Amino acid sequence: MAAYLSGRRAVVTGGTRGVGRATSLALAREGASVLACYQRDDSAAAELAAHDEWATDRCHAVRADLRTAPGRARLVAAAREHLGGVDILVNNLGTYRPAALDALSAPDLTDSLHDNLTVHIVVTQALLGLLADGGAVVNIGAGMADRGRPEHVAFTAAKAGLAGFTRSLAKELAPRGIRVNTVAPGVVETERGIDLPPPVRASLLSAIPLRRFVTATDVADVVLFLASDLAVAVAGATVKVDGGI
Amino acid sequence: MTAIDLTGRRALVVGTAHDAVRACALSLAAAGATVVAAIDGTADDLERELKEAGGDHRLVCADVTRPDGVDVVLEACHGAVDIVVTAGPTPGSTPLAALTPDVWRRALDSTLTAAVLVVRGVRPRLAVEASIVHIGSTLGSRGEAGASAGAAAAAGLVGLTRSLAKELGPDGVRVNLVAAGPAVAAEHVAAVVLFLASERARGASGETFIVDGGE
Repeated sequence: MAAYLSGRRAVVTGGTRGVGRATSLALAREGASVLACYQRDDSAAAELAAHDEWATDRCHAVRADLRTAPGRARLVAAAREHLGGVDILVNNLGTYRPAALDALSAPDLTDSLHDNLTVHIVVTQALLGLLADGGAVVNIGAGMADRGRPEHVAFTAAKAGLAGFTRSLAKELAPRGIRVNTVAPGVVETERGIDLPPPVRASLLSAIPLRRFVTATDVADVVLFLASDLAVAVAGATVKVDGGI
Repeated sequence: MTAIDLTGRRALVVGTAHDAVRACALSLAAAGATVVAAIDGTADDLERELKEAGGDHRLVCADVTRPDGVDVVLEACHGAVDIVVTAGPTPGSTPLAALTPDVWRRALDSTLTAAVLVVRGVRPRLAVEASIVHIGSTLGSRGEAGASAGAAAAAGLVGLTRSLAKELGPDGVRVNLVAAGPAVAAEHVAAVVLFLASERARGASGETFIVDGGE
């Protein structure tokens, strides 16, 4: 298939593992210039860079903790240096630490809301000056935010918050032709597989109409669609990629 | 440049919305699919454009709100079908006082009944990993004064899509809905349909894709 994002400049947060990694690779494959941001896992960044499609003249990784202002400044500087501007921003990073309400500590709650919602808002804010007119922002949400799930109170509250962020920012940036959307994946099989006990895995699988787990690459392909001209009239939307649950 | 390559795929595009059928048929054909388009009435422009697109495309005239109309469409399809697109009419405005049982039935027939009859008819011919895309309207969630029949039909498509996705999913068939906003061009709707028809959308099923420019 022909490359359809040639010449586009993309930033992917949490871009070296899981859905972020698959998105970085898919963007690279489709001809985009990519800046993958990661917090601390240098080995994952090295693994990403070893891929054939990771063309070193247009694909880079930057280590920065985006939960901090200096970390965000570092990302902005790297985006300015390597890309010059940003056409596609994929807000993907997040933390996943399920906890029952009675076991949810105050610091864990704060962290979960911050890492899965607030950070996307402040990263977008930091990159706003570099975001080009006609660009696209794609947030990575979670299918379970809509359905709810026991022991995921903080995580789903944050991910559901992304829907409001998406709708409002879409309206705010529409005059500049910047589209903002969210992809909400179901249970995702990443490069590290799925970390579930076999009985849980089997019961989850039987609840998925397509009878297979969505892969990180499946999700990445929808992210790329939303970033592309095919989705020129799609804005403010939250799209589930969950095999039909 | 589009990344969607549907070479070798066989697509069926049926409906009463001329603009949507035309835009979808032409973009599927441009992506390499072989298209059978069906519309209730004449569409000389589309017939000519499909001819110009090259390939073995067909246009048939059929009323798919009736089972015999669906039979006519299926006769025009040779062999298996990979992609099915249904497009109901653009909902009209009918105040409650004028909403006679006939008007109500027509609104539901042209949208919901047509979609069900087409999918039921084509079901035995569906290829492995086929993709079904219904085109509806954001009216179902927005609502609008004077549009209760069209809105009910549009909302009905959501449930139809979700249920069909669950019923046909185990056979690898994906079913999605594109809900178009009132100010969106048919070409922009067709671009989303193109994506959903392709294997790039292999993880998406049972989902409503709102295409309304973010309004």
